[in-house]
Amino acid sequence: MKLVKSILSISLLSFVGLTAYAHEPLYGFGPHVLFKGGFGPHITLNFTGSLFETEYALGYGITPAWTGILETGLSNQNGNYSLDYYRLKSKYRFYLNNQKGYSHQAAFISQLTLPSQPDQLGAFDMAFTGGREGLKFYWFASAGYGVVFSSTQLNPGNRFIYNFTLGYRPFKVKYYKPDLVLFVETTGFTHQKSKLNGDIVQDTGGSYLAVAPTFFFTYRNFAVRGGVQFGVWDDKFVTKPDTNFKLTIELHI
Amino acid sequence: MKITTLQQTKVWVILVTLLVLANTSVWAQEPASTTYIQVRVDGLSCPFCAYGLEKKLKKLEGAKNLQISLENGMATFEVPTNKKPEKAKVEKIVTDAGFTPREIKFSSTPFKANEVPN
Repeated sequence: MKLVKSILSISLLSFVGLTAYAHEPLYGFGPHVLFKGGFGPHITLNFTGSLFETEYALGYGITPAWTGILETGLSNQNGNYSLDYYRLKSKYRFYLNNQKGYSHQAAFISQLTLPSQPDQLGAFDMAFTGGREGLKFYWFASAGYGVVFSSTQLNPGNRFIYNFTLGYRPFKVKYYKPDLVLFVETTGFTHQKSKLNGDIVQDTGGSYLAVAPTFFFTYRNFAVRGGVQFGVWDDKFVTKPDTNFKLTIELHI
Repeated sequence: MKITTLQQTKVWVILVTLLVLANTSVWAQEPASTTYIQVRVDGLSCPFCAYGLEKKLKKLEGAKNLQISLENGMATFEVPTNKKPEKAKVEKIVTDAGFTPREIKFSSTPFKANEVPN
């Protein structure tokens, strides 16, 4: 059972990856895509108890509406380093309504997570995400479904995630000045029951809800995104996540 | 081979003449005329996201003095008149940056203070 719990905890983390892009939710995802021909390198630092993870990502604006992203994750727990995954992500913005001072957008995200070692999990995730970016207020709403696959006889159940985020810019924005936006994020997660040799493992599956205050600070094409997430509710056999601290550094070039 | 004083004088005369001619030709040139361009851009809501627009507009040949106002939803810049871009090219740049181009104005005089992004 320890193995099941261990696999599930990794499964929870790997759904959305660690990297947040621009004003997108730090613990969810959003419709932001890079400008055509633009590069977006990221470094993300993630702390949960004794677990320290880093993610390196590089996005590229293939078209004005389509961004491709490569990600890889490393972790260190109690001095043991491991390369956790490789991820190929595609984000296609299928709806864009630009008006003076705000933008409504919606995108479809798909991502393939490949394990770096045979005993780790892989996954294919799909999500719809949309929201508003404005001079004063932001909101994002997202929902995704993921199929998890394993090379062992244990097949973790599939997963469903949803996120709702509100953002507020406390200071008047000027193009050439530093900018700050504050967010409150709510993330819900449901994991279906796992199967072992084709049989349902009874004490698996469940849901949790977490809340995270986060910030986004930018100056020109440099951005820092940070926040802390608290688990507030859980149900059945999924426990709410431990308090997590996350920091992302992003550049648009 | 020895260089005589006369030869030295000739060299000096030639150099001074060339220098004077060069300066005269610079003075004789008309000052390059400037075209001022103002683009109304919808969707500008964040300086970080608008950086792509700045990067792309600056790639226009001769573009300088770029100003972007998120509040007014406007970008202004200037180019030498002989390098004035087509309207369609400016529209494509704005679209590629993820924004929506609206009205584009070309002017031979700078835009008034209240028309320039702050």
